[in-house]
Order: sequence, then C-alpha cells, then structure tokens
Amino acid sequence: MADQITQQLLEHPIFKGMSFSAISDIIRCASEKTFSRSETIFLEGENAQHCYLILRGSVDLSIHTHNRGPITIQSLHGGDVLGWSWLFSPFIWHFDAIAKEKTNTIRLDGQSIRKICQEDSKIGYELMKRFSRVMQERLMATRLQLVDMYGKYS
Amino acid sequence: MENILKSEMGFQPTQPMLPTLFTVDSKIQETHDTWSLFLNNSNGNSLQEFSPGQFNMLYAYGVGEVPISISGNCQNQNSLVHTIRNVGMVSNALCGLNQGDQVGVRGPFGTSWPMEKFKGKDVIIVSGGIGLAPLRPAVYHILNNRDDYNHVALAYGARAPEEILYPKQIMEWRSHLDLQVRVTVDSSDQKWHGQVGVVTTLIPRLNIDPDNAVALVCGPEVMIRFGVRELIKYGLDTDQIWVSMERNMKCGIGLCGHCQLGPDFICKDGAVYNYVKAERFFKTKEL
Ligand SMILES: Cc1cc2nc3c(=O)[nH]c(=O)nc-3n(C[C@H](O)[C@H](O)[C@H](O)COP(=O)(O)OP(=O)(O)OC[C@H]3O[C@@H](n4cnc5c(N)ncnc54)[C@H](O)[C@@H]3O)c2cc1C
Ligand code: FES
Repeated sequence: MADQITQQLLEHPIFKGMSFSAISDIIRCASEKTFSRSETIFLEGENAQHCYLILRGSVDLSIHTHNRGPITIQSLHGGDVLGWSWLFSPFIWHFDAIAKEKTNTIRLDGQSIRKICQEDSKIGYELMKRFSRVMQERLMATRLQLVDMYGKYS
Repeated sequence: MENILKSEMGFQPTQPMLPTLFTVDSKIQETHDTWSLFLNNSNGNSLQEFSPGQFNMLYAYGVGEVPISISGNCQNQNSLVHTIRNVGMVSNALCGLNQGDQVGVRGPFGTSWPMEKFKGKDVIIVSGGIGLAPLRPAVYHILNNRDDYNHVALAYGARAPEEILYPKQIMEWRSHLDLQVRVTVDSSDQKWHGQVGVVTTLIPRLNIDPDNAVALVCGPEVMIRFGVRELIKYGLDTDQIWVSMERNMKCGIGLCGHCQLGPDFICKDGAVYNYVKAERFFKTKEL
C-alpha cells in the first residue's frame, strides 16, 4: 500500500519530477481516501486539516448563497489539488467540496506538511513554488470569470 | 473546393453592395438573448455557396446593417442560417424578425477557416458564448468529411448553463465516439452537473497531439487571448492557431476603412486569421 502511495505521489502533477528522497517525509503524511458520489469532502467553516490530491474522479467547489442556494464555482479532476486552507492560518475551509462521482484521492496531513516545510527549507521552498504555481493558475481562471467575458459589453 | 480556395483568398461576390432579399422561413430561440434565423432567397434562387467562417452583412430594413457569421451547414443549402445575439439596435431588430419578414443579405464575405489545410491534422476548436456560431460550420464540415481529420476536440465555454448555445446539437455531437466534446460554464447552481470553470481550463485535458494539431478559436477577445496562451502552453505554435476577429463593419468589402486594423481590412483580409498575423492586433490596445 505504501509503495502504491509513493508511486501515486511521484506521478501526481504537483510532485512530478521530485525524487523519492525529496518526498520521503511527505509519504509518511499521506493516506488514501476515497469519496463516494455526492459525499461531502469538507464544508465551509470547518477546520482545514488536509490537502487532497485528486487521482481519479471529480469534485465541485461551491459556495452557499442565501437566495440561490449552493453555487458551483469550480470543478476539479484527477491531477488537481484540492484545498489550500490547510496552509494558512486560521486553517478554515472557505468553500464546500462535494465529490461529483466516486473520487480517489491521496490525503496529506496539513500540520505535518507544514512542519516538514518549516524544518527543511529546501523542500519547503520547492513545495511552496509548486503550490503557488497551481494557485496562480486558479487565480488567473478566477480573474477571467470575474471579467464576465461573455457579458454583453465585453 | 473551388469555393473554399476562393474564400480563403477573400473571394467577393459580383455585386457586393447590393443586398439580396431574403425571407425568414423559421426562427429558433437559442438562449434568452440569442436567436437563429433560417432564411430563404425571396426570389427562389438557390443560395450562394459559402465556406466555414464566412459572414454576411444582414440588413434590417430601416434600422441598419451588421456583419453576422453564417452558422449553418455548407452542405445543407436548404436555408441560410444565422445565429444572432441581441446586443444593440440592429441585432435587436434582426432578433425581432418573424416568419415571413424580409431581410437584406450581402455576402458571403471574408476569409474562412482553412479546412483544406487542416486535412490529416488533429483539430482543436475553442469557443465561448456566441463564438460557437462561426465555428459550427467548421464542426459540420469535419463531420461531413470525418476521414480527413484525426482527433477532433471541441472545448466550449458559456457564462451559465442556460446560456449554452445549441445545447441539443452539442449533445448530438457528444454521441460521436470520435469527437471529444467538452463544455464548461463560468458558474452554476446545483442543477448543472457538468464542468464549472473558464473555457481555458478544458484545454489541458484534451486528448490531442499538439505537434500535429491546429486550433480554431472564436469568442470574446479576452477569451481568444487567454485561449491562445493556454494552447501555446499545451504545445502548439502560434502558426498552428487560427482566430476570428470581430470589428465593426460597414461595407464588408474593403472599401470604407471602417474595419481597418493597421494595414488590414478585417472584412476582406479576415475575419479568420492565422494567429501569427493576428497577434499584433491583440497586442495593440485600442486598435
Ligand atoms: C465578422 C463578424 C462576424 C460576426 N458574427 C456574429 C454572429 O454570428 N452572431 C452575432 O450575434 N454577432 C456577430 N457579430 C457581431 C455583430 O456584428 C455585432 O453584435 C453587431 O454589429 C452589433 O450591432 P448592433 O447595432 O446590434 O449593436 P450596437 O448598437 O452597434 O452595439 C454595438 C456594441 O456596443 C455594445 N452596447 C450596446 N448597447 C450598449 C449600451 N447601452 N451600453 C454599452 N455598450 C452597449 C454592445 O455590447 C455591442 O457589442 C459578428 C461581427 C463580425 C465583425
Ligand atoms: S467594412 Fe468597409 S473596409 Fe471593411
């Protein structure tokens, strides 16, 4: 099982290209977690303890609105990373995450990962670069959503 | 074939300033602000041939004339199809036409998607909003000549599920096992079970060989710019990408200068451009 997780971690885009020795500490914080269709992965306001690397399946991130109910703001798939809030204080989820279908993930323990980064600045910097890159891509997509590019006056 | 070559060179009809009278045969409401008009030549003459990506100047009598892409099938010439979004005075008048009403048509004008050149290639079609209208003839062309093309993928984005253009047709295209059809919306409530996110997020998931691919991109200019960036990230070179440019037009035949962008007249030298040529238009603000 541990070997399988190692393999999956090494193949996931977020760790791709990193050596086994570089991620050996991370492997110890990782476990497999599968969600069934419509299962809640986390809810807004809950403690953000984990980071999820999606292997297969898909997840909708949504925000609850008073008048329109839950509004889906993004769909994530195999190869994507789900969740940043475990990285930043106060470690609270800002959105709801629901599995849209059976979804296999690798769950990383947020606190342990933060500790690894704190103690080993080399790996910490590498990880931050990789996570920031994904965050930058998401931010760009969000900005495009904000532009309302299909609006009448765009 | 002859028609395709002519139009790729900016073919013009013989009496380009004289509108031909067409009658609205039928009309479909596509979304809350978009209608498709099915037009027949009022004097019973057969329809002018066109190539995917070309446009006509549609004249709403007493209101004005605007460029609108032909959104029908080049091989099904029963009627001339245009899909129009109501954004202003003329498009509002066109969307308000009913069966039996008349409209003036000049065209077809402009360059087309060079489908002949794309033979043997993987084809990526990236479109957003009303941008699917000028690309629909290209999809028809590929389906009519499926053996000429390799892997084919359509990535389409809309603002919300109810603003997806041609939903029934997209569902039909999805049933083709040799066509990758991906649709996303910018945001949605829980009734939508499809993908949510901007159209550019669909590109990395396509199953296409970037080395042997061409891409056709049409939609709002912001979407084109970011779509092209994502295609380049995916591995395409700029010369593998074609875009359709939208600019206000008057004559449609390179006489009045209304559509001029630098040395180019979009109506005549475009609206379909290879990105190598179009890039400078996107880089120059307020052109
Ligand atoms: C080659 C080509 C192909 C095209 N193909 C299609 C097509 O297939 N389908 C289609 O629907 N369109 C198409 N267009 C776009 C279409 O030509 C324009 O939408 C049309 O010319 C608008 O004319 P109008 O008189 O209706 O709007 P106008 O009144 O001229 O308004 C023009 C623009 O101003 C904006 N506007 C309007 N009212 C306001 C307001 N109150 N405040 C701020 N902004 C406003 C609108 O967003 C609109 O984009 C194409 C354009 C080109 C160049
Ligand atoms: S519209 Fe007159 S030159 Fe292009």
